[in-house]
Amino acid sequence: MSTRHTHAYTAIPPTDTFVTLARAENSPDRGSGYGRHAVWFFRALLLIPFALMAPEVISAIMGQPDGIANISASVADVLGTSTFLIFIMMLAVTPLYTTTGWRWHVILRRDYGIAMFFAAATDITLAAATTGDTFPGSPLTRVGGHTFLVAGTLATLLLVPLVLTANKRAQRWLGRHWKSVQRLTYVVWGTVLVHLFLLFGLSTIFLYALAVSAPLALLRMPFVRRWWDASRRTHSHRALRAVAGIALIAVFAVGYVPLAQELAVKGSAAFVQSPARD
Amino acid sequence: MDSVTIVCVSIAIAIGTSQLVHGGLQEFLTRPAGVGATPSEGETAANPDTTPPPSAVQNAPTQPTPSPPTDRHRHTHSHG
Repeated sequence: MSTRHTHAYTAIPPTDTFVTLARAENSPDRGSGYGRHAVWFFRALLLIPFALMAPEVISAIMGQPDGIANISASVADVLGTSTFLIFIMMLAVTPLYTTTGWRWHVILRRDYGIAMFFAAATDITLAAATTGDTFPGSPLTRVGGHTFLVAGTLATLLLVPLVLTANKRAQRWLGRHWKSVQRLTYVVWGTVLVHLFLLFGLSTIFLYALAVSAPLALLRMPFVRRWWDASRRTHSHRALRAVAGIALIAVFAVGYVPLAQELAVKGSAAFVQSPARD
Repeated sequence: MDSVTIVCVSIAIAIGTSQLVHGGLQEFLTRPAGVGATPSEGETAANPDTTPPPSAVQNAPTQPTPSPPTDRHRHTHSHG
């Protein structure tokens, strides 16, 4: 059974799920020089949020004054934004394959999914431990005392089954059901958007989140995906695909660039331990 | 794996429900000052511009006092 399922996953193109294991690891161009270096470059980016928070966490552990308050001021801005950016990068893997046919990056979906879980788990742990100044009460109040907190906590908890099944053994064990488990990614996506809407309303970061989500959602629609894939294989509709691709990248950038800037500003402030306090 | 998912969702629901019961609906629905789109108390105090402007009705010129209704109007309304 396991062999049949492995071959089945190898034969199909990358799916819209949290990870695609067999195809990515057997992809012919994964071992090429540029692809391998690019994969490690994008893997290295995953260390950034943890590196940005490290000085504040170390200061708090060493008992320095303002250590806890600094984490409280930074954790949502740095780890929350990082988690969402990592999630978006993970979701971008399949559309990038659809539009370009590249395969070298498909392995990154699993890496980014696992990194997203660790960023979110670190975020929620630090928030539960340090944000008592903003959310007075118990640690449970700090992760579930308001609607937007419940949505964020739910999204983080929904990552648990995704991470637990992000390996070949789980893929073989679950067989065809594995794919349906991985579709929880879409529930997480919706829950994250609800979390951001409850937090920001129809402004700033929620609108940026919609902007980055729209092209990724559009390219997942079956008819769009089939059309683009077929056009790419037959080398037809080149001008139309180019115009559509530029438009989709532009919409994506409208949301992604401000979020990355937000992380750069708040993250650098956290790194030097002088976060802006509300 | 379905059971793991159910447990995770149940934990989130349990946390939310307990906090809703503990803090009340109003507390549960509103964001604290300085969180998300809600301005902090310091920002509101420092920037009076952030307070809502007076309504247009307050800025409008005073309306002339209407003349007393005539007997004809009163008669018409009494039948309306």
